[in-house]
Amino acid sequence: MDRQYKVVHCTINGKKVEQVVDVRASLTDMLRNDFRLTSVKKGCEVGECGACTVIINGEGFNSCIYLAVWAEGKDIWTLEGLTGPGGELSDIQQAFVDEGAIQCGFCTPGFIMTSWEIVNSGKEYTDDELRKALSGHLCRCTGYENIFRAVKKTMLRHLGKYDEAELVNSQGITEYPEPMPFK
Amino acid sequence: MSKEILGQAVTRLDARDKAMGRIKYTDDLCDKGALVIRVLHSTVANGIVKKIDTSEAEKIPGVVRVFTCFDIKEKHYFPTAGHPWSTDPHHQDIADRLVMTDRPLFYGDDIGAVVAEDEVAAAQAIRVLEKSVEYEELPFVLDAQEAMKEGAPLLHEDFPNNVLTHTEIHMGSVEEAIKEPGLTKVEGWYHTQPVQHCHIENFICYAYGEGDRTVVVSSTQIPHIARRVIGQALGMDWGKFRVIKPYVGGGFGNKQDVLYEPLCAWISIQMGGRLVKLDVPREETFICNRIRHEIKYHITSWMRPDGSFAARTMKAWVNNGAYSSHGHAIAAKGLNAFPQLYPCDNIDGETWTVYTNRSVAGAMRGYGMPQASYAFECHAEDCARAMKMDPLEFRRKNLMPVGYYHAFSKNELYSDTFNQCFDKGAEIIGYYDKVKEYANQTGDIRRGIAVSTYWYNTAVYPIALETSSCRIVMNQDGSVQFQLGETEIGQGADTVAAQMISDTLGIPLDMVHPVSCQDTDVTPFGTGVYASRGTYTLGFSIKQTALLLKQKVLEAANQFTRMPVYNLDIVDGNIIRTTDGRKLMTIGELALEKLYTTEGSQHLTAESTYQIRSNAYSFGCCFAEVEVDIPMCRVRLLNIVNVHDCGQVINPMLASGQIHGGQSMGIGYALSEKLLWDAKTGKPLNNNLLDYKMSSFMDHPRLVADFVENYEPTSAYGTKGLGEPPVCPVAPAIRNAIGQATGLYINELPLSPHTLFREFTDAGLINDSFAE
Amino acid sequence: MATQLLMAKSPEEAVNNKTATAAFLAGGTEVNRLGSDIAVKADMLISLKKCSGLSDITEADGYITIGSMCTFQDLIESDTVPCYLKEAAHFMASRTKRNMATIGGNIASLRSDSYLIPTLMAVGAVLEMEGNNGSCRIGIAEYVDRSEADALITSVTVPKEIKVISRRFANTAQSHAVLTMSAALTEEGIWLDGAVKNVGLLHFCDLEKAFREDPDISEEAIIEMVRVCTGLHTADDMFGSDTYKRYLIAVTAYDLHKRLVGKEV
Repeated sequence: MDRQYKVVHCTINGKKVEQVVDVRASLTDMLRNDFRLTSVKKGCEVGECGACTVIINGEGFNSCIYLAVWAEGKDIWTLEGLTGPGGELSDIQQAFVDEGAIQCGFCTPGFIMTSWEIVNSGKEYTDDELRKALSGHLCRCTGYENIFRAVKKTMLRHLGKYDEAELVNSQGITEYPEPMPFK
Repeated sequence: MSKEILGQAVTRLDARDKAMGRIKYTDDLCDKGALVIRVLHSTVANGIVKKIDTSEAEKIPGVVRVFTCFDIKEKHYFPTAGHPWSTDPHHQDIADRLVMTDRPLFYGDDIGAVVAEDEVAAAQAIRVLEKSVEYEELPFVLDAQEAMKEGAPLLHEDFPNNVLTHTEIHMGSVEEAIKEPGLTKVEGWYHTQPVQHCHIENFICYAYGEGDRTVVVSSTQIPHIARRVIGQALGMDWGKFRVIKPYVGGGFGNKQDVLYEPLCAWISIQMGGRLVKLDVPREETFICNRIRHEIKYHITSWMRPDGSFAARTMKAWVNNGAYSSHGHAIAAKGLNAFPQLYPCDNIDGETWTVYTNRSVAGAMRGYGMPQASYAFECHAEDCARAMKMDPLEFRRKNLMPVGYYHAFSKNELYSDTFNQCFDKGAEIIGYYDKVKEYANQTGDIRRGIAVSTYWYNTAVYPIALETSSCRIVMNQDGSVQFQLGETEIGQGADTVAAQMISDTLGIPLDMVHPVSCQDTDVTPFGTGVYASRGTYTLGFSIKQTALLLKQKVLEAANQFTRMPVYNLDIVDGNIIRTTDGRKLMTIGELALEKLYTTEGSQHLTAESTYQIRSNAYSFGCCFAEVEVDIPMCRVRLLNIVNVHDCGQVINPMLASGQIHGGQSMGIGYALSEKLLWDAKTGKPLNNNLLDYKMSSFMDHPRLVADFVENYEPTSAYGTKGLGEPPVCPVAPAIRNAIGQATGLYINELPLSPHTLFREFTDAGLINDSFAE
Repeated sequence: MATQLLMAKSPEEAVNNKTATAAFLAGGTEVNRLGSDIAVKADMLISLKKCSGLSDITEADGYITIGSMCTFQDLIESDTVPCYLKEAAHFMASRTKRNMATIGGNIASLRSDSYLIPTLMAVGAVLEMEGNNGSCRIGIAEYVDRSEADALITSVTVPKEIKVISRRFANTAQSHAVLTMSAALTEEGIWLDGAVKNVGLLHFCDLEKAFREDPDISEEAIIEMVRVCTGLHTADDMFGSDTYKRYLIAVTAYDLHKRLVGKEV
């Protein structure tokens, strides 16, 4: 059967856009191919690795399994949109840099987008809840250790708990933590 | 400042760009107009392609060309391993692959390719083509020991019984030694499973014509080797190809093989140099790239009453899959390690690398040592228990002693690394208290703690060539760019190299810029990153080249300051008179003057190659603490602590990141990961990230990484390998901890609930009416 | 392979366009992923995203009615949804997938590693269906038995106050479950339902009966019952052996019963 196309109107990183897409195209394809927003990465195309995560109306989605046509009327943010006009990093981006949460960097954009949702939620997550909230992103380089610290510290700072955020700090060499409670 | 920059946890030089999402990986650089290649893979595990009817596929709108194995007119067999080439034919890798083959040897072998305008058309064509292939199916074999039996299907004619290589080592006489009275014999089978690297960026490359040459942009660890192999695969001069490596989204050894660069280049050439892109989907990454070798070890030890070894033997059967890739090197590494880790006067070792009709095994983080460490350290634990010795004390007593010298590699253990790592790790995790606390537990939920170590050496000397080249170019402001053959693939090589240059040249780090993208037309020759060699090998060429440049700078400074070179130095970006410490000029002023002076203008640049003829042991350990829910057959990892001696730590933040990554990969290896094939059809069963799961955020405890720093005397900057070692001791530490908790020491990976169920029922630990 | 997409505005429109070669598309985690059979076999997908009235959560007479297009994350964040269902929604470890996957989609895909169906079956959830012959209400157990692919689930109704415990067994947090099991305590006794990977969605009547007849039945007796049960068609596969699955069913059922009727809840 012939392919079917549709016009999508949406806001991407604060800018109103419209684009003709194949109705079966994924949002990943639209963002990467039509808007060259290459921070949106393809890792598995089954919604498991989280590298393609973007924020749609305030929530994180796997854009590889999200149809581009569903974006109609939506407010979409990719990692490119978090950086300020003068190249200023947002605090969550800066935390990923400072805490050594980045290695090969391929999972990084997705992780930062979900983390951005978390730290801007205004909620204080427990360690266990944070791990649950960040689950859905796979990383083979970091073991998630420094990512966890980057997100937790930024979350605490967002809540005004600056002193507590500094206690999380252990640059490079992690100090021995308490065992996680067994459930 | 020079003393400070080495050992500082500076942030990665590419971190900011990566956090902004503006780093370009291979796919990000490819023009939108590229045609898309999808590879047609064999759907039989062993067979002959009789015919491929391409007519239906060619009718699909958007399909541009369909190639099949029958389009290959000249067969150029090529090797794929990312090894340095050897001009001696006896040391060359086995050339057993074709860009497409009519004789598929595993489910997933490459028998054709579609070129289409987009992914959808290509995928449709592949679906149609898969139904249009006529095969003569042949019997297949998936298991290494089965493949060695008489009558097993033969994969490659030149390799009887499918044995790619068989090697032995003998030291002393086991036969005589075991006659000693009072010996205790301990023996066991240790079986590790095949797993995959699972870098998040799948392998991808694209190719296009430029003049009479072909440019291949590839997500690879080994651009210079890739260029050589493309030339060999296509039967063309190597200089006809240019390979470019942009940022890479993880490699872990999979990208230390040449994967689809030759096919992509071949197709581009067939199509007059059209831009074609070959992006491997995750499903194919699992089975059509490389995997970790499945190895079965059998180890026997004869122990004296005092807990020392009288004699030891090991045998290993290594399942190499359908093509040689790295060949016998992985098996050989384990065989080489066996007599070294626990030295003993009487040793027999024997190993077989065997072809089977499975996905090709190649390099993967650890290069055979995660498998060997599992076998060696399970066995060490078993020996300690048999002798009723504390497992840690047993290791301290029997491990390679300080001063140990290995004649072949000329490696020497200069420091008391093992004990220092054990002491530090034991203190961090509270080993001794917990060992006592967890002894003699009863009940459904039990805890255990254990330790494991491993053997590793850095780089590949003396087995193969070790060479590193570096170029440093100074700008008018005194800042520099540098280029190396050692690739940045996420581990942080660029940053560590920049710290070294900053130190040796005496200029601030922010004046040192890596040219991260390797380009075989531009980058000095280097073989890439593998074997945990990066920080060790690049150090030599960096120091040599930085000193050359420094000499040139100081000679230039002599021209402008009138001071003799031996009274000059560069400190913190300034030319200093060493006799009184006076700052004479900045390096920027010097560089500017030297370039634009009308008397003796010179571009300040240096380039050199250093051939490395040394190697260095790199040891450490892992402590693991687990909780086992016996009725539910589940393990929860409570704590994990790795302590490594990688010599001087250049960047603690990046180095601990290497440990975390290794621990994470080790946790998946220990508890959940395993690639599976259907015994009836040879078809892979779980080649996607839904069915094959690496450990996710919720499966990890906090990962603790620490170091013992013994400056490595053979090294340019006191460093030695760290990339691979952290993964090696994890699985045996977890296995031994489960053993301490339950009394059951399981000799198979992964220690998944199903494996535990079988072992627990067999041992009567849980209701045994289900015993399988 | 589906090349056409219909963005249905209402459940009626979705149902009216549902042909044998069309498939409903809810959150997308199942249908849109690479390798999905559903999208390969269908010509047209009918997206339910724009259907009005499928995302409400309401409470009446001790029952909670949940629109079929409510996502897993909607369930977790709702003040009305009972905790037992939130717990089941949390079985989907990925937050980004929870933002997409819907309760209706999870039911309709009838996966043998379903996150929600065991819990919904245990509490006797009732589905409101929109079909060519208008709407109707059927119990989820009946839906599971005779899967009406052409009818559209519009809402799911569950009791608010009921004692339920659910368990999920998978190799990692994000792996497919080999077993998901739920037990609910009702006036008639314990209800026990499960999803067994590659076997299906099961209502464990025999075990329920055994627990009702003898609340103090031993674990050994339960294990023996499941071990020899001929009605259970488990087989060896990559998720575990036949015996492993049977063992897990037995010990989990015993454990859930013990916790539900005993003091350990």
